[in-house]
Amino acid sequence: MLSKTKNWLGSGQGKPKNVHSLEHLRYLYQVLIRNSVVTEQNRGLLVETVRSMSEILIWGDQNDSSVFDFFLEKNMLLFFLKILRQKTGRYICVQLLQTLNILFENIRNETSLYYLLSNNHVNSIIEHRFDFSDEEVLAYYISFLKTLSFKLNVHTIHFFYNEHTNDFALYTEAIKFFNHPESMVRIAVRTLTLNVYKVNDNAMLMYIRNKTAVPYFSNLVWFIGNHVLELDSCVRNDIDHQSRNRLSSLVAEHLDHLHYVNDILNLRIEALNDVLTDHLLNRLLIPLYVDSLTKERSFGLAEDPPHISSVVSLFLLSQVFLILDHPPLVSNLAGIFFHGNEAFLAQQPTDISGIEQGRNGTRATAVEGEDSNHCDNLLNVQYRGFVKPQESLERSLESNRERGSTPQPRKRPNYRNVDSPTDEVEGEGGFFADDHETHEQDRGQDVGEAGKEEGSPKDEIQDPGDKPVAIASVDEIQSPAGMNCTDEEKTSAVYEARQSELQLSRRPYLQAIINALDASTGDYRTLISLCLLYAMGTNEGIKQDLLVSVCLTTRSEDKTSYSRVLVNCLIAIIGHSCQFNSRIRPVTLEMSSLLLKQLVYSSETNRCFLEDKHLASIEGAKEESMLLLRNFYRGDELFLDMFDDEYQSMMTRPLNVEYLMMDESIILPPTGTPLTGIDFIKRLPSGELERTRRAIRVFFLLRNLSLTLRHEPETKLPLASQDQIVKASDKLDLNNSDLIACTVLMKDKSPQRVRRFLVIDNHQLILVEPDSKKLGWGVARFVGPLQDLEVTGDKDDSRSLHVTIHKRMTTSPHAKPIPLLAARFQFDDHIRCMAAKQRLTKGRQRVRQAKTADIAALLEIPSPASPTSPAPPYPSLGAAHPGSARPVSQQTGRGFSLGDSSSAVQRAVAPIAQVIGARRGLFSSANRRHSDPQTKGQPQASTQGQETKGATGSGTAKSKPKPLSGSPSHNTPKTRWARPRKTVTGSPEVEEAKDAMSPSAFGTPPIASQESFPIQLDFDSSSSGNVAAAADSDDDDNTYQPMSELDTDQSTLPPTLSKSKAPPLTLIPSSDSAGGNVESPKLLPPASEERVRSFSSTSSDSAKTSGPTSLPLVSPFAVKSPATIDVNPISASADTSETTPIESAQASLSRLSQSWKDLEPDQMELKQIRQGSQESDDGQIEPDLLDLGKTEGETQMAPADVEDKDSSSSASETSRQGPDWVSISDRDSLLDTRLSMNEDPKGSLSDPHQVPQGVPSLDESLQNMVQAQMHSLATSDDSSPSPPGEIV
Amino acid sequence: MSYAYLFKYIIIGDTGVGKSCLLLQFTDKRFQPVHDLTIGVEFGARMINIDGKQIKLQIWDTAGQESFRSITRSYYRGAAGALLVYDITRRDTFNHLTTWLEDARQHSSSNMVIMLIGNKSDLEARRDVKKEEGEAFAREHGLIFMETSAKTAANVEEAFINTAKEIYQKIQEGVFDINNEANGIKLGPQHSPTNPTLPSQGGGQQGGGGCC
Repeated sequence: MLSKTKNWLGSGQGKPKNVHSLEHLRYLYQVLIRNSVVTEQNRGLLVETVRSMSEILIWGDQNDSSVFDFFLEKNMLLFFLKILRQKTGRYICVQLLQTLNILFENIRNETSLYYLLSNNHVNSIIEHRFDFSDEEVLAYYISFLKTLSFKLNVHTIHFFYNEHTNDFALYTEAIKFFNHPESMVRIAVRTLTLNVYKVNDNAMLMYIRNKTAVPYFSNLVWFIGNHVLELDSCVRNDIDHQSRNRLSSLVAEHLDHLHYVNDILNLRIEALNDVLTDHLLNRLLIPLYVDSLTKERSFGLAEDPPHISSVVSLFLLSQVFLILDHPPLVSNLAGIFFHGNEAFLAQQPTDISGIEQGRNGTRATAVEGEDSNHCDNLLNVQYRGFVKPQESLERSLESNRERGSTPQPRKRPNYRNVDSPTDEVEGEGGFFADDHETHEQDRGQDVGEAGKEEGSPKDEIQDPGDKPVAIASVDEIQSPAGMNCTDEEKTSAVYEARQSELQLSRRPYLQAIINALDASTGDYRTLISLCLLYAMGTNEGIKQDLLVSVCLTTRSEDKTSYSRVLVNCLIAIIGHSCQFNSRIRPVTLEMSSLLLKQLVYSSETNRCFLEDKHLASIEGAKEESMLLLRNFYRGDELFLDMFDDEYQSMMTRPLNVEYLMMDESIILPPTGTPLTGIDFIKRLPSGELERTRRAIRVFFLLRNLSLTLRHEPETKLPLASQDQIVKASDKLDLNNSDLIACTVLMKDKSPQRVRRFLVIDNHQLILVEPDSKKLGWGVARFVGPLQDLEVTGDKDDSRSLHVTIHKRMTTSPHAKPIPLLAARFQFDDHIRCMAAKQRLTKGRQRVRQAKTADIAALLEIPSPASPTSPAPPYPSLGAAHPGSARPVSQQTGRGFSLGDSSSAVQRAVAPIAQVIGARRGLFSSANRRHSDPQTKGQPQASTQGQETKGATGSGTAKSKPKPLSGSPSHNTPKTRWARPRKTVTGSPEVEEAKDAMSPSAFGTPPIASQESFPIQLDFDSSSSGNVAAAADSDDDDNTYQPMSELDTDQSTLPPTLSKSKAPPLTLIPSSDSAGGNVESPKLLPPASEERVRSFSSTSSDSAKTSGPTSLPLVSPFAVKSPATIDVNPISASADTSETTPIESAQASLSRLSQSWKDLEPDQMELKQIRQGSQESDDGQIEPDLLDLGKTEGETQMAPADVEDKDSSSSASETSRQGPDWVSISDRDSLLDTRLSMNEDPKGSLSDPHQVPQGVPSLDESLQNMVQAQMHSLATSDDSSPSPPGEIV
Repeated sequence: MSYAYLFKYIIIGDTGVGKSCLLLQFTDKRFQPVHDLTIGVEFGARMINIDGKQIKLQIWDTAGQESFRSITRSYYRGAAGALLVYDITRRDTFNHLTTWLEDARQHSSSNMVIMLIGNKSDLEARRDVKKEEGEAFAREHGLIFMETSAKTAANVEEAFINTAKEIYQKIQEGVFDINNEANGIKLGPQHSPTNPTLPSQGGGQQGGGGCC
């Protein structure tokens, strides 16, 4: 290029070699001189010359000041201007603009900048008429203006704003593009205006306000309003979500407008703000937004003022209140909402200066009116209205300018506001107070601008005319509010009265908002109305008094006067959301919950002001949501994943109302299809999976709401308690824990090999590196949840495993899901590899099962049992055993509700039978199905209703006396176990039945099933035995009759039962213990549960091998198990009397043991469980928890005595744990023992129902297990509540 | 010159990371990078060719407008692509990426293509942020990543053009609604150069610089 130019030049002056030098600039100057006329031929040369100049100038600014001096000296800007003014100047105008841009953007030397600006050439360039139809020219031009605006400050402003001529080309030229179709241009204009306003120069601001504010703001408001109308028609014509893109940009556009307005208002230039506020309120917000709330007009009628649908109006107003917080603006607006009515709106005269036609005439009449009634006379003119500005911005500016140049004799009265302190406006009590001021100002403005014939005298006359009108109307409106708010105190009756008074008739707008909350037919308007209320309640610009006057207590400390009407609406929404086929979207529920919390809960004082009856409704809704979720509950992995995901997404992405209000999808009618791309929580669920997700979400939300309102901490969520989680770089005591050395090869990037030790914790996979400072300790280098683990072997390398840990929540939807860990683990040999794989697989399973059990506990579903392998049906057995079925039959009914088919029941029965030794399960099932047909029918029909009833009344449902239930030892295990159920159902039996049935229906994990089986069996048997005698007293039957059940059961026992012996073993040692607290084995946390940090005894495997010593205690009992049958009654009685009876029972047990070897264990265990469950059912919820904690400790003691080792510590541990843990733990331990019995190398979890190989071996293993567990528990230093997850 | 599409870009990132220099470097090759001269611009445009289609890139620097929320959010929304720039010699600029990205995601259309750029790669000796870190951040957040130097012009070209390719691909996939100009994409006066003077004018005045 440059070489080319050289050729063209061909003149004597050679081009200097150094491009960046003064010489070169001189040379370029010469070129310019020589080519002062732009032609087709030399334009290329000129372009390059001008471009080079910018380069040199910036170089000079940074390196050599003489360069700039030369530029200024030669007045080269003038050259530029001359070139531009040529007809052919457009050829190089883009380059000139770029050069100017670069010049002003990069110049650092202030003096240089001043020099550049000082000769007014820049203003001439600004005013130059470029060819703006060329988008490139316009883009450079507007960038140039924007760049200049960044250079504005109190000093430089005078180069642009000429106080004497009232010229401000930079600003006035720019705002002419305020509505340019090109968005980037509009943005640049807005940037420029803000930069201008920001400069704190009174004279300039006064000019802006007096000369340009009205034309600019009125046009801006009109521009916004038209966008709104466009948006509205888009919503109205888009029922099918077809043009969401367009709608989305319209919504965003509206937000842009509001943010822009807010940015201006936030500059706190009162003079400007008043004008802007006035225009916004009277020309847009009130006539278009607010007025549309109450009117559904027929659109398209010419005479009708334009209106928008009420949904859009609610939505836009929500945005307004979320974004704007300029007190005069939002207070006025809120005041109209709360206390205004349509008549008021219609009558309130507005004074939009310079806009309305014919105002002069009407003004004259207005003068006469002294009170509000006179407004009627003013009909035609002074209404608020969404009206097009009288003339275009450009024309207004032009005329202003012309006028500005002529001397103005008249002093404008409205100037005063410029200097007046801001508090004058804000300090006024009435919400309309500032209106007066604006009116005055505008009036003055009017006069100045609109008509010259309208002299200053008129001004003065008009003032009194308008003022009274405004005041009168304000008073009129305020009076009811004052009455309502200030007088009454406290008693709810008064509040009710006030509220009923508050609502409705006199407050049509508030009424419209509240009416929109009605969600009985859908939550389309509900959601948006909630958002609006929320936005108003949190808006800092609205005075608290005003909010309180309509009982919006969101921001007050004392929330006693919360709006009952509103809260009732919210509770109704919450109630609707718990229904089965609810039309309430999750987001609506969350909003309701949010708003409710704000209204009645003070987070600072942690006080909830909600009345009891309302609180009860919330609690009821919570229970219902739990019941709803139980309908969807499955014990499978998918459910667990959904559960976890929902919880995480709720926690990590709490609802942000501001973001919500940016989403255009909520102003379209709610839809159910995910094909729209609408976020799940913002639409209705589609399909079973999403219904499940929704139920989960609703459950979480209401649980959270309930806990918050009751000020209780969340103790059960998330499922894996955080304090157990090991974090990367934690130091861990790895002494005596299982470590597998391996080499980790990361897959993602450059393959790096690192040597690590693999540790498998309760919840996590941990890769540790030995700690160099402490022997036996290690530093966690990587930690990942076992739950999301995926392990596969390597086909080619038997020593390698491919391990992937998936990432659950991605940080953003845009990110690709990258696994937390994707690596190949290479072990030393095949054996270790297999061992590792097994552990990983098992660990994953364990975590998942434990969590599933946790969920069940959370939902108060007694862990449902679902055998993995279908068990053979035992119809004959069932038939053979005609037990008493009364309570049972009810249960079946319940069970059906879950499974919803009789076949489900059958399926449920089969597994049970298999596990326990078919007889009991079968009997129970048989009882349910056959023996008591009449009961069966009824429960089925009414299941749902019953359940809900039960749920609400759960707390007090049954009170079974504890003495009856028997010895504490027996009771305790059950209580823990059953405790979760209490709340849900009214009667224990029902629940049990449900449990039993549910697993089969849903396919819950095996472990859970194991637990449930024994329990259920006990119940059944007991009921069967006793039912005949005591038909109605369910509770009593259960407690007393274990013995009889056992006998009957035994007779029918099939050989298959042998496997289940393990449980009895556990029971026996406990009974032996003098304390009478029997349940020891169950209480023990599973060996595998020991915490990571104290790796002493890691997994159940190790536990098994480790503890041989304790065996003797357990084993005899196992053998004796048959005796338990006889003993059982004794033991029951013995419970109260303590040790001796137990001993005798043991003796009897030993006698019988031989004969009943196989059967015993099950029975024992069952019995134990049953009793526990009974007790738990009996107790009240709250007290129960405490009791449980206590009893737990005691029970633990028993084993401690026997073994006399570390158990005491373990006992204390457990007692410390508190109820939550307990309930789960004993269940777990039980399962664990069983698992170990099975001796399934893979952890037996997968196939718990296998028949054990030989009795003795089982016993032994069990004992080992138990002992190991106890040992581990004792040794573990801190009391980690062995998470329930372990076993399951 | 006529074009098939016009893509609007914005450049975001902390001050001093070299945004405007990148912009000038890309849009106007006539400004040769020189060691003792830093020039930046707030606006630039350039024609590129993708798949035989003329595509005009219009790049707006958002520098200095952070104090006004309305401005930043409008910019984001009006752009089809964003270059998120940090300075590899200043870790704080890297640490602020999350905030920038959050902002961008929040305000932009979800289809906006974001490219992460570690600028000043010529200053290897003063490097404070490893390339791997940039890569990891990009991977985690689903961005394209590149290290550039506005000084040496290394990778600058690629950064802008790759972004354009991504946008173009999205258009081909129908992800972008090209009729909605709010996306930052504009259809050119394609087959009908109604104003023949414009092309010649644009070409002529810019000389060989490629800034059109």
